[in-house]
Amino acid sequence: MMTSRRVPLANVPNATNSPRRAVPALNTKRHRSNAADQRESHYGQPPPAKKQIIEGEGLEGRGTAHGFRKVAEQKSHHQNNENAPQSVGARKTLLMAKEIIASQQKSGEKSQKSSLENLDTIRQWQKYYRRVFPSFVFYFESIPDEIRQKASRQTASFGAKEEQFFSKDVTHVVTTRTIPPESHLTSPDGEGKTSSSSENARSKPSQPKTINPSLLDRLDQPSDIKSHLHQPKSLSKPEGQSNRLFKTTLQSIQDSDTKKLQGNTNGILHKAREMGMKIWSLEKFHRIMMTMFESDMSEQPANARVPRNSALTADTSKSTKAADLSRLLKNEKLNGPADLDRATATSDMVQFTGCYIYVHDMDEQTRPVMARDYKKPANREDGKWPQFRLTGPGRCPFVEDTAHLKKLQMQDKKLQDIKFQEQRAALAKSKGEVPLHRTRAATAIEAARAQPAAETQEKRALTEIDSNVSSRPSTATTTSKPLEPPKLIPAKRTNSEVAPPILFGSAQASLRSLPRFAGGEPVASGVQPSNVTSAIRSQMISSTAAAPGAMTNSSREVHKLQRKVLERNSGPSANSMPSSYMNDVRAAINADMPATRAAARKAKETITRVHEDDADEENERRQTKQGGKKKKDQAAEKDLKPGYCENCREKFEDFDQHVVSRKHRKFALTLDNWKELDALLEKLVRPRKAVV
Amino acid sequence: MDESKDPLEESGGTHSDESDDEIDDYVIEDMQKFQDSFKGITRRYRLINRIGEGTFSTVYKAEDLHYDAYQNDWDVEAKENAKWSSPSSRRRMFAHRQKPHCVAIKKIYATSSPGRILNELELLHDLRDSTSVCPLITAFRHQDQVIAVLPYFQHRDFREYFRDFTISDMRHYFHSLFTALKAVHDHNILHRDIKPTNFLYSPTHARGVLVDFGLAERQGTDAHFCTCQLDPRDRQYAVQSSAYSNSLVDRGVTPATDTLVPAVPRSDARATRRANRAGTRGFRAPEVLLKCTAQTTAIDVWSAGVILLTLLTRRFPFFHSADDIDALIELATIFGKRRMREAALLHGQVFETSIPTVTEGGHGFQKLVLWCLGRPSGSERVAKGGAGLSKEELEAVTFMQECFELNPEKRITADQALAHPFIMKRGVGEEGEDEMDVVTT
Repeated sequence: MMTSRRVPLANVPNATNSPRRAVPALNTKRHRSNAADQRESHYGQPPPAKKQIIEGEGLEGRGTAHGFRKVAEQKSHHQNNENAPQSVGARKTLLMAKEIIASQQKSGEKSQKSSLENLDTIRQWQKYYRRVFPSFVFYFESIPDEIRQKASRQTASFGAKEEQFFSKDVTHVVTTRTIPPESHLTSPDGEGKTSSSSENARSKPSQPKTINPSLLDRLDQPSDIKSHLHQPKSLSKPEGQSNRLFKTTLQSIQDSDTKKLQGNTNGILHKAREMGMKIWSLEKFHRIMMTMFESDMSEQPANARVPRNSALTADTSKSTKAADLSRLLKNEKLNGPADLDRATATSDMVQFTGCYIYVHDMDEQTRPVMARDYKKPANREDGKWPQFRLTGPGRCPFVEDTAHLKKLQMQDKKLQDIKFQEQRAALAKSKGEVPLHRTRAATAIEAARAQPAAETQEKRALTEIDSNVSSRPSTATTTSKPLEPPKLIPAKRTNSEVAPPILFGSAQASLRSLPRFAGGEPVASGVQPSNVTSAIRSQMISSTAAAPGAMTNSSREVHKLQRKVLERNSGPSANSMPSSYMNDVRAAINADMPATRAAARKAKETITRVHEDDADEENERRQTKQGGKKKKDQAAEKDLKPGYCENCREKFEDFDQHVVSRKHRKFALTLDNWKELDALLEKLVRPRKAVV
Repeated sequence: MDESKDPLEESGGTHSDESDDEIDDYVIEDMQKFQDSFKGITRRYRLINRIGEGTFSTVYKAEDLHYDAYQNDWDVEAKENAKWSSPSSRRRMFAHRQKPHCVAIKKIYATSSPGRILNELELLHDLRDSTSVCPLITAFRHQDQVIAVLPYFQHRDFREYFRDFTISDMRHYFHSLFTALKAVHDHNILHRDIKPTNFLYSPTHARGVLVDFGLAERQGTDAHFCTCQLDPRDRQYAVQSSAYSNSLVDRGVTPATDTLVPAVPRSDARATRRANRAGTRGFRAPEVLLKCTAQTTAIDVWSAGVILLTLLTRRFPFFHSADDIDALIELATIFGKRRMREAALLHGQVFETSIPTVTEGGHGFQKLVLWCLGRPSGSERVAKGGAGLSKEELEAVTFMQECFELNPEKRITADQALAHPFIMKRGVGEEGEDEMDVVTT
């Protein structure tokens, strides 16, 4: 089906939909993916015979292959302009590169097997171009601003300059309009002729001869010409037409020339020609930039912007296309929409809005490994992502340690009481007033720092934090956190209602504030969390994928957790959490991910909840123990252990029930299932002592 | 199931409490059930207590009723006692025979597939002669119930000692651990779940054994191509020609200067990248988090590094994340964006983040350790004249950094680790029994 599609384009050297043709693209409706276009454009090229290459000039911006030829051409001109002698070797290399590029364009994907040697040549070409680029001065003519800016950045990245106004310093003009023809600037070997203005001027008079007189009548319709000129789409018209157009344009140029219409922008192109500047079509410019950026042209023919709708709605059954599509998608994502279809585009993509982490395939062939958006907090230490916190000795540095913070807070207050008064006068001088808690805290810390004698272990941790401010500014504010009341106060309120004390019996309870608490809630009901979002589900799938045997991710853990919840006193192990649920909670905490409302609420409660529990920890632990004993009988009654059986490949509500089920018994009693294992077990028989 | 237990939930796994008399009712109930279900087990073993619950199993402490009828090559302690005790004390030992010989019985859940069980037992069998790897005494099956009998190893719970471990203690600990890892890795096996709970260590004997091969696998199992397998030049080439690099170049930015906020497709039909993630949160190597599809034994070395970090900073657990994403953020907080980008690209992944606490350069380990210990570092230290890391500590940090090499290929191997000064110097300058270690090795 590809071929049948390709045919029409083969006749159209300059694909209308070329993504590089940014301006025209805006005006044309797209019918299909540019992925196809790009590939097709290579197929669509006329065979780039060597002869053609050497002969050089044809129409500007004809096709990709031609584009590269032109690039090489340009280089030689440039050299001539610069009077930079070029070694024969380099020259050869470049010509070779030209050919290789051309031939690769011709053969399209087939050329992927083209040897590294070829690539090497291209790289040399690149290398050369990168070297000369800094001497280029670009003038962008009739280029929309946004495109111009991007182009300007691109050229700047190679050291070239952009001229805002047309001047004699310009070496290259990039335009979206039809380019006035060059006279035979290059001799067959590409070496002899110069592009000096005088030469140009001399050669020009001969040009009118090439105009087909039959087209002269066109001159009666200048508006028509103009419209063509401003409609680069015309470039993609069939050869004949564009030829005509070309000639028409030329005619118009001559026309304007003779009329000496200096105000005509077309005059700039003409002038540029006259002055021996290079004139590139925007398309060609893009192509050159692309080639310079790419290190492997045979592999990366299409790195252009494409309509994202085409990428997304693409038929996924075409597995071969998938890679391209995803790459195009990525390009689209990074470069912004290339067409006017913005509405569609934005609804298909979700942009991160907060503090995100995004880990994705560099070639966009697979789904992102990680993508998460944390809500942007007012202060970074309020962010819900893991970050260094001030914690007591022995504690995980990533999990907030409320008890420790409280301790610090107390010390801080004391310090404030003692030192603040002394320091106040001095500080007021330099810092002005100190009305805020935060500033006060900072002041207190400073004060503390100035008094090394008064240091305690905790205090040192505090000052240490402060000393790290330069590299880790967040921590400085962390110290002031306990002074901010809003967090602590609501926490107290939710406490009694929400907390099933069961899980707090753990010795590490305070270490892992979040999951431990969250774990109590849904699991206690004995049901697997059903609020699994697609994102989480996909993670589950991926996570189990490589484990031997097919299993769902959470079931076993839920199972385990379930048992522990019911058994209560199995100690610290109560921290177990079904990872899927944790994801859910995480997602909820971190907001904006599609977790259920309940989970979100729960999560928020969790966060606030953790702030106060440490003080009561001991208390709670005692309560837990008692509570556990009391409820034991109840628990035994409904001691369901849900899980997943690898052998029956099914989930079960209760382990004990499942293992006596007919299906499972049948598996257990089928010797065939155990053959391999039994063979090994035979080797593991415990050796008896030799009888002495 | 790819998650092992969380470091926090495992007191059961390193149950070292000798107060066997205090057994909860439900445990007794559970043991009764077990004994009933497994025909004939009571004739050979007397269950004493439940000492741990793994992902796929429960472990019981039991008395080995017919100990003397079997060859007990696995019994290191008995051998040691015989070796070092005088004849008289040996006699005393005979008199002391009342003390039961204990084993650990691992009951593998009936819902585990024979294949999974086979994997674990087979690997253990392969490793039967390896020092520091918990040997398998025997294993048997009754219908769908498989049990493995392992030595009961005297050890102490990690949480009891991680706060007061000296550098010297650490040298011994890691000598023992890396001896086990070398054996495992020499067999081309990845343990996948290295963490304190799975390394039963006895500080007094300066000896530990590696247990729980439930997640272990042979290197190359289910592996397929990952960019990290390319040689650096080819990899660089692959990266440079990637869609991502091109887009960067297109926009004329570098990863560090890129300000474009990425977007993800609302519905993504692309295939999911799949890789074995088995292991425990907080101990997973970056390549595991990044779903490298060709993981190597180097992942175990990373996990060992996490243990050392725990000991050096006296914080357990050091990493504590709800999931892999948070785990990677934790790593990024330390290593910084630049190095994480490099680490991700090794596996063909692009790491991007706007999280403000993840800085470009990250934090140095020396500073981190000092900070965790509440000791001043940097300019403050200079100002106050406080002590930085001692020479010994520096050596440990250097060693740890080699375990934390983000590129798994460049990471120190277990073999190299055993030759590292940090481990080689164990016992130097110590007195008494410890010197024996130096002599014997």
